[in-house]
Amino acid sequence: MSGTIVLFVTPEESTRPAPDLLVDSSEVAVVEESSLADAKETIESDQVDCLVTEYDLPDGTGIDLVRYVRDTAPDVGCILFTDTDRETVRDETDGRVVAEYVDKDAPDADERLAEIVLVTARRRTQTSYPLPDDEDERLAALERLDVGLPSLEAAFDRVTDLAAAHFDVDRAAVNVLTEHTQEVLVGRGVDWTTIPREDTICTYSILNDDVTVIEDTDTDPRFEGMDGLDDMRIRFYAGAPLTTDGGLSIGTLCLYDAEPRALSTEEVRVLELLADETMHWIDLHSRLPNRQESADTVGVQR
Amino acid sequence: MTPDQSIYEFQPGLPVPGVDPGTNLLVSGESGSGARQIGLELCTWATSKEGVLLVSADVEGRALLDRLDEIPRPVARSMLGIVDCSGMATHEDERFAAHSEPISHPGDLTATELEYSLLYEKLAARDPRGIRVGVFSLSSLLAHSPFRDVCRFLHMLTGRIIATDDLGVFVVDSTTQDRRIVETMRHFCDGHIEARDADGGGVELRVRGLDDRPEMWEPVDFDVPCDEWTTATNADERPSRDTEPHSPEG
Repeated sequence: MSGTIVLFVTPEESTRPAPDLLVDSSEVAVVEESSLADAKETIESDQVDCLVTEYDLPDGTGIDLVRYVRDTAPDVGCILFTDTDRETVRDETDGRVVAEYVDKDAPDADERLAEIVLVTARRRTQTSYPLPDDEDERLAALERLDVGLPSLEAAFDRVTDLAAAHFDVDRAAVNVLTEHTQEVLVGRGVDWTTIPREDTICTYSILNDDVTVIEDTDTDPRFEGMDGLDDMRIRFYAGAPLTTDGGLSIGTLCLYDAEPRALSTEEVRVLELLADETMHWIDLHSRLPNRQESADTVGVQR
Repeated sequence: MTPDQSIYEFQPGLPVPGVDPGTNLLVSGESGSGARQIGLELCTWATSKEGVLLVSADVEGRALLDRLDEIPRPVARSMLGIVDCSGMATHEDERFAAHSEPISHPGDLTATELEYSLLYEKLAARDPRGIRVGVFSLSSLLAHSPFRDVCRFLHMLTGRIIATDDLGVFVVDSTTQDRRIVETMRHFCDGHIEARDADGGGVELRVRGLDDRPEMWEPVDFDVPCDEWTTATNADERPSRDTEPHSPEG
């Protein structure tokens, strides 16, 4: 069964169950629910990749469900599949509910739905941030590298200590970017471990081959309204990608500070060298025979 | 959707290579650089067997339609649809009300997507080989909605274009947008076409990400003779300006 999960939500009395094109597809696995409450439960417990929902549900609406998804699992693709009139749907939103829409009454509606579901689920085309062109390969590389190895902690400790001291910053961390989150492997002075990827700067850093320097997050329009940065007291950010030999960026070595600042060309070069060293240790430890397997959770703060 | 659509071609005067179905292009330039005109050219260089669906956030739908009347190459009106999210529509034009409800402002991304999908199906019912989709412009959407919402909308729309093997053209005014915003938008697309004023007049384009050619500025020739517009493959497919109404309803 495919690892790509599509949640199909429609009332029990509906005469339009999930289309055969999806149910019979080898590319996705369809999970069916018939209420808002059950759908929420499924979203909480399973890694849903795409949501298809009717508008009228016995205990709410499809818009309620889309809003819930945007709050709890923002990367999930959402598709309203309904014959409810457009005015009713439009009236319920403030214009800010971004979701696909497929009219059930349109000719070939099931085919259109299947087309959009397959691309949305497999390519994750409703994230609010761009994905690297090699995202699938990047995630596969991350999975192959056992970055949570306890034996790596000491190496990460040294790197983050050295980085914080050399650059005279509040905090430094080694992070990886998973499919939906940023995970802190080791963080010196940081008090967070897991962040939704759309709330991070690192998700932009891995789009670049070079070091990303944000001298003042308050003046970068990409991060306007990102309240989490205020909560984490991040005004300055510098992130060097952790890049495999194959050119895939699995994460970042980052510096953070509560005050704006800049980095010189030489400082950028030093950060790059530290990131290269960090990646070297990850690669080396992943190749060690009889290595101790990583713990279930990653993220060590000091 | 369109097994017969092999490539989307563009007029000979544009230094832009033909692209595969499911391609999305970002067109950027400063105000007055010709970026908007280039975007329109890319969308309207359609054969009679292609549809054209435009999302108009900058100007009222009727004004955009009038603009299309001015281009020398005809657009098959029976294959044209416009989603007017400018907020300037007066609701008096029955041609538009017949197939797309005007949207009150460019910040209503929910309604824009809803009307887009409904209008898309009306065009699709005409059995086109492909549909050229143009958004004019991302700048207007960004002026009315948070950056993150516009990114999600853009990502979603480019994904739909990939799913349906269409062509997407997204125009952004780089005068009004920080370069970091434009760079982010570029990542959602397959290629980036930059427009600028040429020394001595005219427009130059630089095309990035579409093929292996060197990324250099090249002039646009809007005066390519008509007899060079046709090619051996599509000589009988040049659209004719017909008198059918603008609604794609058959």
